[in-house]
Amino acid sequence: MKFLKTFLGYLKWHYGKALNTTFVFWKNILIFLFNFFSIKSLAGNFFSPWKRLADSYPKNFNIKAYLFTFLANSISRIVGILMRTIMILVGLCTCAAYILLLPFSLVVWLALPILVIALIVFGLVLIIFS
Amino acid sequence: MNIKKFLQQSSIYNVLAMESIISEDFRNKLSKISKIIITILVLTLLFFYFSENSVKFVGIKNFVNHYSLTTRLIGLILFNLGIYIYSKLANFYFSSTYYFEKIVQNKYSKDEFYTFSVGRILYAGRKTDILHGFFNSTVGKKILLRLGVAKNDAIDFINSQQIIQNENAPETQEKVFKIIDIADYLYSTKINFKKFLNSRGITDKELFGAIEWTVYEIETKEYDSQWWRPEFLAKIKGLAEDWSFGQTFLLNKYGRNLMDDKEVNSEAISFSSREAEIGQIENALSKSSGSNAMLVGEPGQEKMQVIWSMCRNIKNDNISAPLQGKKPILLIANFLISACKDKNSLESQIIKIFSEVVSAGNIILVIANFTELYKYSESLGSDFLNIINPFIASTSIQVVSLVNSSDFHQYFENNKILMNDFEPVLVRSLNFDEIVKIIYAAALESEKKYNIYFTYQAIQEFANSASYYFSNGVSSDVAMNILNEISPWAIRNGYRLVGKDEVLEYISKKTNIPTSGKISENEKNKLLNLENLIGERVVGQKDAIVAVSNALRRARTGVRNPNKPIGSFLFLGPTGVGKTETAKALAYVFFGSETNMMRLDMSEYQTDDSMERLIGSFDSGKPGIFSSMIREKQYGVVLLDEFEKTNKDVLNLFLQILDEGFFSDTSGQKVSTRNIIFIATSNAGADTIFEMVNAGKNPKDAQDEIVDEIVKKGLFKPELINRFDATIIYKPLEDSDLKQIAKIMLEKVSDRMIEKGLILEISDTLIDYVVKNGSNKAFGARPMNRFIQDSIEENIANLILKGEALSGKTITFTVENNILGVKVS
Repeated sequence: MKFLKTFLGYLKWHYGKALNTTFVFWKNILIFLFNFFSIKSLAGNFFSPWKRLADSYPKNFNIKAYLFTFLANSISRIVGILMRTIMILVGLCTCAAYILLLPFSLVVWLALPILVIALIVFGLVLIIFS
Repeated sequence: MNIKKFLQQSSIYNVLAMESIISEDFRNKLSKISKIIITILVLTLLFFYFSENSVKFVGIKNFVNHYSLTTRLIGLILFNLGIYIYSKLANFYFSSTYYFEKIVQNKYSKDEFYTFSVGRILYAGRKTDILHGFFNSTVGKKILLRLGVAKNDAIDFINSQQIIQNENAPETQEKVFKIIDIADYLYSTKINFKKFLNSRGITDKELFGAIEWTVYEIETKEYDSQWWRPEFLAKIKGLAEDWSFGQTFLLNKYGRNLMDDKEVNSEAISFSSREAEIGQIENALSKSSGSNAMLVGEPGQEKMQVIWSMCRNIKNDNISAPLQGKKPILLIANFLISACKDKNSLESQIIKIFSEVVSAGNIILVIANFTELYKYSESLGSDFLNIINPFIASTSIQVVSLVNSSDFHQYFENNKILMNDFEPVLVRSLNFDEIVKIIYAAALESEKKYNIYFTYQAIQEFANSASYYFSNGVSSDVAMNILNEISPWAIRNGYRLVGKDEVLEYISKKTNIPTSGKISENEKNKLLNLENLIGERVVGQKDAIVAVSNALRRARTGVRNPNKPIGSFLFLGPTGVGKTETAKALAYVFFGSETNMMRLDMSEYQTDDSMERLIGSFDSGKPGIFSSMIREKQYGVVLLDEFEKTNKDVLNLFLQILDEGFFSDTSGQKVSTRNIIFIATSNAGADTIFEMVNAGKNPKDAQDEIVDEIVKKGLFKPELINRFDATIIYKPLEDSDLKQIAKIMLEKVSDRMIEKGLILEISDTLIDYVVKNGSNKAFGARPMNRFIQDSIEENIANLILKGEALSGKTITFTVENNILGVKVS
């Protein structure tokens, strides 16, 4: 009786409060992935020079020095844009893969209580009857 | 409502019931073991699979096929997997119902009437009563262990207690019933429980403290296991976090990234009492320009602790927007100072570092030794504040400088321009309870590292001793240092359980102060015989000795007020009657050696600069005689000779010292005098004492009269006299006393002669002669010593020089018509 009551209590939790927690868990991981690949900050600074490596332009107007600085800074920016694009793409792909997995993991969660019993029973059957 | 009904009100009941079938400990073991088994089985399976086509393992192959082992193995793996998932699910179930009291203020759902710990105790007592539940539950056992109660004692006690049938669950005003409520209920209603604890020296405060610590321990473990919480995930550094910010090559050379400090990354979530200070820093650093803060506090680690707490908040993403994702870097001023030997290089390096910080864009520059850097650049003739001014006034930098309070007042407070850009943030010193709490986490880490166990009383003693036995430094620093040092010491001495006594023993070894832990047999005898021991050296002042002895026994047994000096006495009486000798005797008896008596001739401190000479000069930075003396020897007798002669300021200083047990020197540092016996002597009122003795009165009975007269004369204020533990009147010595003193002095000479192989015969006539010629009314026995030197010792010296007093001879002095003669035989 006690065992059955406990089990029912558990099921109530598994399909109630715990299911809610699972959604929170998914949300946390998704936010984490976004931060891990720094997607927001990379997008915000998409066109900035690579690691802020940029010279300031000469104060006296000197066309040669001006062009040189412009070239150097442009390279820094292009490197920055390239690296950021790669990282953002990798990040977005990971997030997408993660989101695609969610329905599957939802099914797994819903099936878990039965799965546990099934695993134990099936395992015992295999051990004893093969 | 009975316990069972009360329990069933909440959904936690099901978890508790599950726990009673399969306990947490068992579950954890189950998941560990099944994990190991699965790993081994999978490896074996893989081995079978790959060895199938190999000729070498034909025997194995046949064996496997014959018993269809592969299928059975798969079955075993599936079975274990089921067990593993089950144990994990059960743990999630348990975790999600856990109510965090301390770490996060949970929003509890409607059906949560009690915390999990309370549930465990009540569930364990559902068939008996709450007290039995407390003693039999894992939580209760843990708490008792933290209080230093031996397991068997607890079992014996609870077995002797009658079970209360159908006990009702206690009631509380709070929405959620916490473990502290249970403890409060048990302590106030179960007299035997209270007696059981009190007989072991455990108070209710300690019981509640131990509960708080235990709850903290359980919760930290539980909380840390929930890795999916956003604050834990935020700790993992992003891959491209630095990409949009500049590099800081120079700053990396002279500083370090504070985010890597172990204090920031410590697993234990410390009770942060620093939210107020961090809030102020956040405000300062969020300003549109001049976004800098200056942390002002006592010398020590407290300011850094605030910074570390701030770093932890940045890491957990629990901080306001202008600080989010920032990298606090500590500029180590000493590296910079040692690298730059002249004005130009220092200035250029400082400018480069600040420019780097600006261009990097994500750095909070923390300058720990701001004052040192300032002073150093001033000494090179460079205007440090002016150099950094354009940077700190700009919108693109965040600087936090740490300075000591005294330096702040001396150098920075009045600099209007600097204060415009630096918002001062005062760092408060932690109080006793807060210090105890910051030790919680550190003690648990230390336990793990050294495999020892601290009782709650030990933790309390760390905080207590820090302010009690150590006069230098901030208490929280000192407490942490004691904790860090005691663990290796405990291991060396074979202590696994560190309680209050062990802590006191350690402190006693470290400071040579006999802490009031265990009073040794030897010391006990000394204390009980204090009158006799002092009486051997001080003659004729029985009343005075009794008063001093009583005060000291009070002090050593811990009955005294811990926030005052051990004892403070005002000795009044004529010169040469034993006042100084009492102080010396005390130092010898109580502190082991006469060298533990420190003497200040207060007649030297009459002028206006006396205070400066005693506690240090603000202008010259010279340390004071008195403050240095106490710092060097925190434990002993301080004799303040001719106390009435010093000036008013000094008397006021002592008003505070006697009252509070500490004073602050000019650098603002506290100096503790709580392990000192102060003896102030004065011959004020000596005339009155003489008159009384002449009139045949005992001066002891007329103490009030004498004190009144001193106050009337304006020598001491009444409040100062009241601050002393006792005012003790020394009466003039009588002839018989003087004779005894003369005898003691002559015996000392005799002892010295014995070392030279000579025997000095001390006759009554010699003693009478010394008393008659060596003492007088005004100076008591004081001139006697000089007299013995001039007459007796000089005679002996002459004999030795003449070669008459050879080893083995006896020297006899004769007196005829008050003329001294000497014989050698």
